[in-house]
Formats: sequence, C-alpha cells, structure tokens
Amino acid sequence: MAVKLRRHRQSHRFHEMRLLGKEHGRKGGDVIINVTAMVDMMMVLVIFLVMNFNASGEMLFVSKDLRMPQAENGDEVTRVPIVSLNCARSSSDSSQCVRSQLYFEGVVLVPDLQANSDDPNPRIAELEEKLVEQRQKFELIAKREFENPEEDPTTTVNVQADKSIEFALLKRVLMTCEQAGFGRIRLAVGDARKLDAAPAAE
Amino acid sequence: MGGAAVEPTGKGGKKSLDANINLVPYIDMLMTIMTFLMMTAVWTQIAMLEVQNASGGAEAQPEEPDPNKPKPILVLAGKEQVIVQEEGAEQRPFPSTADGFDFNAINLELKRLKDARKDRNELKIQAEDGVKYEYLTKIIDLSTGNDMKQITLTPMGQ
Repeated sequence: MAVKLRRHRQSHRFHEMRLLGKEHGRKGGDVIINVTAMVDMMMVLVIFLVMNFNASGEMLFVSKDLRMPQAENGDEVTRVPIVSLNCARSSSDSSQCVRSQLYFEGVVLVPDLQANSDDPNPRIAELEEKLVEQRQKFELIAKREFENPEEDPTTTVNVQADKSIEFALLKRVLMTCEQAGFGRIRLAVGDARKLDAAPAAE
Repeated sequence: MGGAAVEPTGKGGKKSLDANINLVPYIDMLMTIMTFLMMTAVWTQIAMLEVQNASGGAEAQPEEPDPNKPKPILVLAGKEQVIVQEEGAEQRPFPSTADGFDFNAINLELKRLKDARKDRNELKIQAEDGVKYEYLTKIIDLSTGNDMKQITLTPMGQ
C-alpha cells in the first residue's frame, strides 16, 4: 500500500507560514522523516522485552528496603502465604539493622520485632493468628489435595527476609509458622542465575 | 526496510520500481507490544529455597534405625565458625574471616561428603542466634546445589 504525498498541508495557516522548503514556500511543506532507525530500535526493545517476559508474573512484592540474599539453586516461586521480615536501616550505616518489621501479605503485623531470646516460647501470637485464619479461609474455599505439596497454601509459607536479619529473629518466625501448621518453609532469595544474565541494581 | 520491488508494467523502464510501504500500522503495533511488555515486565527475579521442619518445634517422628541408611550431614553455623561433619564423625571447622566464611571450602566439603554416599539426602543445619540470614541461605543454597533434598534448619542445641 503506497503512501500518497499531499501537495498541500491541510492546515492553511501552516502552509502560509512558509517555514519549510528550501526556498521558503515555493516547494511543498511536507517533510519525509526517516523512520528506519526508530523501527530498528523498537524491534531491538521488543525482542529484549519478549526474552525477559515471565508468564508466571510477579508473585512476591519486594519492598525497596528489603535486600534479599542471592542463591543459585533456588526453585520457582509458588503462590502461598507470604511472611516478610524487613529491616529499617540507620542513615549513617546502611549495613546495620535498627528495627525489624514483620509483615503478613504486605500488611504490617509487628512494627518492631525483638529477638526475645529469654522467652522459652518465642512464637509471635499475631502471626500465628493470621496464619491460622488464612488456612481456615483456604479450607473453606476449596479443600483439595495438591499434586505438588509446595503449592499447598495450607501447609506451605513463603518467608521473605532481609539478608542482614539475624537467626534469632528468623527463628521466632519459623517456629510460629510451624506451630500454626505451616511446616514447609520456602525462603525467598534473589535468583543469582538470572541476575548474572541481566545485572540489576541492588 | 520500508521499500519493496514492484513487477515492471511493460510500458518502458521510465517509472521507478520503488514502492512506499506504509509503516504507520507497523509502528503502532510495535508501540502496543512494547507498552504491554514494559507493563508486565518482572524486574526482580526471585527464587525459593526450601527447608523442612524449620524451627525444630515439632516433635520428631520415632523411626526404626536403618543401618544401611547414610548418616545425615550436620552443619553447625555459628558467628565465629561453621562446622561441617557427618553425624557422629570428625568435625571440619571453617572459621569466619573479615569477608565472612570461605563458602568455596564449605562447598567442597559438602561435595566430598555427598560423593562418599550418593544416596545421602539429609542435611541438618543448626544455627546460633547471631548468625546472619545471608550466611544461612548461602549454606542452604550450597546444600541444594549438592543435591541434598531434606534440609532442616533448627536452632543450636535442639
């Protein structure tokens, strides 16, 4: 299908301005723009984006403050309840964790979680309550057997923690999950294999 | 791009053989695809490391000891050192340095223990309270890479 070049622009006012053309108005006001470079660039962008396309989508919301550790042998993410352990850092030393916040499905449960090493039962009551509630919801909606137990939202939980968190805090979360019936723990990590392929800012 | 040859009409060779192709729909389509892909792009790549019986809070199920079953690998993760051993056997300590732990050496030791018994799948990690999560995930990652399928993470002393 051929492109017809108009003799005159539709806008008479523009045409009367006589801005375009070598001799100010003696020639037509149309300008041919070379779009080859633009189309090439768009093709490259489309190919890049298609190669990076992930059909499973983004299942975990990662806060900008959360620095996840990297791992090379991780499995795929499954959609099960998410417990996050974030770390508020001091402005002077970004490696130091000042305050730890506990989230469940993106909602703050405990704004300042302490290690509480003296307590013989270090479980977190708020988290346990939410997990039990979540399991009851899933069981009400559809109680079924999962072929892959990693996808069972009544026994599996994703734990997403900052890499500078100490085990004393993580221990409380893990123990709470287990006491609530979520014995299968999946620790969220950055995928180092994909990171090597496409480096991203930490 | 943007040009195509047209068959000659047979009325002399004076007319140009070039034909213009309308690129507007093509560019529109590319723009639409680009917008869709940009909006659905996932920039953070996340994976999962699985641990079982994580807290050690649940009581262990009593089972009959099988003499042919390989003993599990035990990893004691402390702030000062990481100790790797076959349960009940000689300990191999890996002290902490300024840059953390020597994970290459730990990986070699795990590989050696795995190669000694290929059917060994069980690995127990016992961690001290002060150990950073980053180091624990690294140990779990190395263990998973060495084909250890049953990894447990418990507090030290349980």
